[in-house]
Amino acid sequence: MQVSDKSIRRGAALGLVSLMALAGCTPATVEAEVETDGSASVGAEFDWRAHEGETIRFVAGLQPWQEAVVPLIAEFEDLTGITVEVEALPEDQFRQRLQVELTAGSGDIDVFMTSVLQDGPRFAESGWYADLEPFVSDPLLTSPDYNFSDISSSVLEGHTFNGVLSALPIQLEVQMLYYRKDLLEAAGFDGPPSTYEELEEMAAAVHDPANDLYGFSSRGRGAATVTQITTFLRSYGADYLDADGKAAFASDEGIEAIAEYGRLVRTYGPSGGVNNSWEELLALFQSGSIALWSDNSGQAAALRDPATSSVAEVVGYAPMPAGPVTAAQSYFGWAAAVAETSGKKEAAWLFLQWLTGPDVVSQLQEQGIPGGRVSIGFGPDVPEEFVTTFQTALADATAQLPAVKPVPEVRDAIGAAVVSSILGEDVPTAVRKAAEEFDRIVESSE
Amino acid sequence: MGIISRVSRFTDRHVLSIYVGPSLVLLGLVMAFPVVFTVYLSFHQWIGGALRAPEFVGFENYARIFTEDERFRGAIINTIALTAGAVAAQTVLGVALAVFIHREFAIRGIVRSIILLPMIATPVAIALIWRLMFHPQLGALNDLLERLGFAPSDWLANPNLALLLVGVVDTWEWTPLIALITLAGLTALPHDPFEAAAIDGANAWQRFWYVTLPMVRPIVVVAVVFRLIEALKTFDIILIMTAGGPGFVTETLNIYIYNTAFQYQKIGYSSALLVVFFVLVLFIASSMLSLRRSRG
Repeated sequence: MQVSDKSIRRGAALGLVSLMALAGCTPATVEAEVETDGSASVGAEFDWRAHEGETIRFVAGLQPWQEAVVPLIAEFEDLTGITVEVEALPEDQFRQRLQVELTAGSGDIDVFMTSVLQDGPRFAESGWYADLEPFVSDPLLTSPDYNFSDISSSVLEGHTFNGVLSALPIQLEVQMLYYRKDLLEAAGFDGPPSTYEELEEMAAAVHDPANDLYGFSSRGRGAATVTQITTFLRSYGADYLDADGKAAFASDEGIEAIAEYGRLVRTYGPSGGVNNSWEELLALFQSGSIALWSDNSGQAAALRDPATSSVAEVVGYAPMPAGPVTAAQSYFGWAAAVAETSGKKEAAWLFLQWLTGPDVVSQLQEQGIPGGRVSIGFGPDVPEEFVTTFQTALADATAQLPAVKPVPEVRDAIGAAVVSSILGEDVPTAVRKAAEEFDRIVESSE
Repeated sequence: MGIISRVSRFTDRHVLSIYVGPSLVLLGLVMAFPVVFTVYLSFHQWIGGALRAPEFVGFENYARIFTEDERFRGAIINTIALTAGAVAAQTVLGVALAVFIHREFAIRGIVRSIILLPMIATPVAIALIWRLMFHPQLGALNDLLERLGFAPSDWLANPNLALLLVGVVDTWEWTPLIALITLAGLTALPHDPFEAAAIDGANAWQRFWYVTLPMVRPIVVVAVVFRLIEALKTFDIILIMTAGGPGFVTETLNIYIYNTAFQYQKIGYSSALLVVFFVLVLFIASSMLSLRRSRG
């Protein structure tokens, strides 16, 4: 509330200033107020170099997006004269570091990566996101080329909490099925599976653990599995929540979905599957040890890069197959935000604006990393099959995580049930226990 | 002159507080404040850290810990099992190691230095290397097993093995500490009792059991208390090797508290868990020390 008042005040002040400038007088008091907001003086335009010489700190997780954007940051530094210190950590460590620093209220972070499905409501409640609206709507702070309306409005809605625009999308992902064209062809299949039965048939046909080749795998490490079982749940006719916001995944359909996920990973995946997250599975797929792998689309770039992948020429992409009820698809998103505690919000906004601006987004999407801009398509080097799969899946996709506040804690509870399932333990008991935990956690967070 | 004599009289009378005062103040700041603040927070719900004020909830956090928190119960059991198992193994191995390297032999100096290496290395690096060695597909251990004709194991991914393996790595890392302290005790022992025992015809085992061990026991107990307190707080190797998994089978109190505070952002609740943990450590340490006093 306070922030929007302030932006209204600033808007009014600007209007007043321009009127008075027209009238030929320069009121010292009003101008001073504009000055303290750090904007340029009366009559000035947007200027990339307004914060020349400042240094900002950007904290990021290791993601295909981050890998692709970091080499471009030198362009931003040349453009603005702002120095960007980038700190990129593996996902788990990144989340931990970020939360520790934000909890401590340290002003050292200026811009950070965040996933709104996972962190949004909690971070917003904690007051860690700066409101971006006043920056976006201020022509002195936002370049006329930014084309804000090009960012999909439904995506923006997902990044707005209690009316505060908290972050902007940088990397959009759908879950997809990666498959080895060569192996399936050799086994006599003419395309990727379209149902889970077909998937199992293909996995069984190529599965050969004695020669380090596994038919199918997906994440098995606790909380990490939760984004991946979402499509299973919905394809079997279950979901995380019912209409009252209570846990609904312990229904018969939900138990069956989680049992099937666990059975497939246990039967056709590498042994010790409960310790595998995408990092381990990516390495195994790249080295040719996995035939079918369901994970998020962000992995695709690393799979078709001959420098890191021995299967770059033979990787195929397909939407998630159909279960008994439907072929559910799901999405996950990474975003970037300005820290509320940052002492250099305007320089930070210039950086965020550049990160999410048309120029950078088209460069990244050229490489196959989709941002949130409607008008920008993929480049010619991105395989046709990937683009079709991405668009098909995105059209039907729902969020990969339940829409509750304490996401990390419920992820641990659900993840424990998935681990039980992969280990071949009593699935109904584990899933029901997870559902009880889920309700207890959500209730105590209100 | 009057001033100087008055100052010197003042310092004479208050010499104790003048010397000890600054360190007491420092100690109060760095030790007492965090403890007091943690106790204060344990009666609050605090979301979001520095930007929001804590909200008073009375004993609600404590009630929740003892009535409905299953992960807390699991974590207590894991903590005690890991601590008891690992410290027992370390004590036996450490004392044996100390007796072994106490004897005179050619390369004693080199052996002593090598034995200390696990303790000196960075825990995070140790944990990463062990995690890699335990990896079912990429690790050295399964490779070794297969070369020897045995079936490979899932190691840390096996819920029945994971906690045991964490204990093995902890023992590998910390046995040298017990050995080092015991060795210092052995070196300080008088020679006469050993000579007397030898003259009386005691064999090596009898000399160890009836002479060495009773004399060195007070030192060993100190080493064990050190290790107990440290082992209860084991954190880095668990976080790196298993992060508490698979499921929650290796989740100790320390890992759970960490998750509660920094993953779930429940600072008040995690403070209450910490207070309970603090009382537990205090109880174990003081009962060990009173055991030593009653024996000594």
